Amino acid sequence: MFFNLVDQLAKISAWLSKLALIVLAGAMLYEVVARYVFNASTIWAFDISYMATGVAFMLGVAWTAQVDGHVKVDVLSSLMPVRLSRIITGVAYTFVLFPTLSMVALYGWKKSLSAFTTSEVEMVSTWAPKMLPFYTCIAVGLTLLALQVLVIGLRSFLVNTHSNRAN
Amino acid sequence: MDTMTAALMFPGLFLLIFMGIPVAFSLITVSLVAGWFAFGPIIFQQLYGSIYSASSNYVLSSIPLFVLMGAILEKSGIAKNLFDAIQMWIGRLPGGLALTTIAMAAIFAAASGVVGAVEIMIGLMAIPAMRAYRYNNSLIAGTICAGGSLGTIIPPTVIVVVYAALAQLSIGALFAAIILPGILMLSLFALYIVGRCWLRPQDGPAAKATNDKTLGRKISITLRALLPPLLLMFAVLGSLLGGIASPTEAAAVGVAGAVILAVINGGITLPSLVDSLSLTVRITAMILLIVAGGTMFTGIFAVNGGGEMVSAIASGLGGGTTGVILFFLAVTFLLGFVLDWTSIVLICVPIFTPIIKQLGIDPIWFATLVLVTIQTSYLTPPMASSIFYLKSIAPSDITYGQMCRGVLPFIAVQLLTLAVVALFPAMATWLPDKIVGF
Repeated sequence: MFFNLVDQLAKISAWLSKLALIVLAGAMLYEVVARYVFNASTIWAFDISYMATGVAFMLGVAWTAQVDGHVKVDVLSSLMPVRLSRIITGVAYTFVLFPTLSMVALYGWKKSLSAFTTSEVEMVSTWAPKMLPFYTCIAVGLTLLALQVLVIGLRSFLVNTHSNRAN
Repeated sequence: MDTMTAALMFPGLFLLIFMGIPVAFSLITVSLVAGWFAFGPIIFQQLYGSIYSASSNYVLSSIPLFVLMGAILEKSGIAKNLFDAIQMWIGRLPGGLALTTIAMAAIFAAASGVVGAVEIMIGLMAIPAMRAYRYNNSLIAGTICAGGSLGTIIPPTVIVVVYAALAQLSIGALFAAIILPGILMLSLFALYIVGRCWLRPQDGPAAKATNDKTLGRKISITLRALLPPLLLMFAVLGSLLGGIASPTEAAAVGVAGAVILAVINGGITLPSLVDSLSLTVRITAMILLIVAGGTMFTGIFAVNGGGEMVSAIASGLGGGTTGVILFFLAVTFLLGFVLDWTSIVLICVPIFTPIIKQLGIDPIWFATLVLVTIQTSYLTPPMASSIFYLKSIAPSDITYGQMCRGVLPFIAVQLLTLAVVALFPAMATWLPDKIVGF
């Protein structure tokens, strides 16, 4: 139940990530057209380009972990007994990565909260958008990644006991 | 802040990587442990900082768009027509089909930085074609692997974007720098294939003319199949090098161009467009998480005095500037046996760059050397990613041994290119100097 919920949330967030890519491509095309055809650069192209990329990244990162898309070297680990490599994955994901990423996500939420209370805006750009939505996307992405990592870790323990029973 | 921690970071990293933990997660874990000694609990804030800087670096914005452009082109159905069009012109030379494969790989490599995807797509098309003419197995394998490796050296490539972002070089200048070495390598690949098949025609016989087309027909096929993708490449690269568009904008124009090409060829459906987007999300998240992890890792390595340590090792070897360059290239080459390019660039570049600057070495020239070296590592057995990709699509009678023998001559060509660029820095630096604005 919990596992499926996390999987589904990561999938939904990956759809938003695809949407961010479309926004990125569209906005950059519009900027080129605006500059050369209408002779009027937009003031938001810079902010949109990095924010859309960042959102596509952060909202896609949990789903990428789910589909095993984060590059790894399995030359040696594929030689290890399956149980051993499952235990390694389980321990690393459940007891190291999940707590670490949770703490980082927590900091991300703190950052969003402070942006909310101080109404922080982008300092570099002339457009000066509110930073809250961007910070929130990062915090959501980190939270989903932490949960997804926990699920992957717990699953590798469960499959392990399962195969024990089968033996 | 002791160098002991810094010294232990690399063995720790490799231990985790070899246990099968994804590279990005291994980088984060080692950074956490090593950073805890330096910072205590503030380390979580530092880790967030690295993730934030990877998410908000506008230079990296062109990565998803270049990947998307490549993914759409790959699914657009232009590949088959392109293969036929190139073969029509050069198929009747000795080793003509192998030449066609290399030319095709160069065009697609230019379209996308996703080396594995390009190699698989080209392999699926070229293997049956070459086997129909009874090409030598090792030549088939070598050609496809070498073609796949071109993704790192033919611009626009994603690797250059990441490298330039880390070393704070101009993306356009670095693209310009790799053009001549790329052309040189491509010509040497072609020379090797023609030479080998001319001397030993049984390895790669010329394709027979099936039904002689009139010149007019040939030109019309060329205009429809070959010209549009070439125009797209020139538009993207030209607007970038000419300073008309930023890399991100050029990549967005490339995406639009790829969609138009795909629609003209009738090859794009909504599901395949969604597929392209999915692939792009996956590759973007994969690359940027390694960027974030690598930023943490090298940052904490530096705080613990790692930079001075590497500097001391490099100067301790003697040999001065040349010695340092050789040492760095050797490290890059060795890492290439086990790591993919993202990880190599992310780990090495921030450590190399300050030392290179300090010694007064031209950063563009050095970057070109590193990029050629990384490309070599993609081909080098025993752990050559190119061979693993090929294995996943090759018929079973092409053995692992034949594959390894097949890539060796191409590795020799790459090392030759590396030597030429090393001895004649102008190969890399002349073009960026010529182009106004860099």
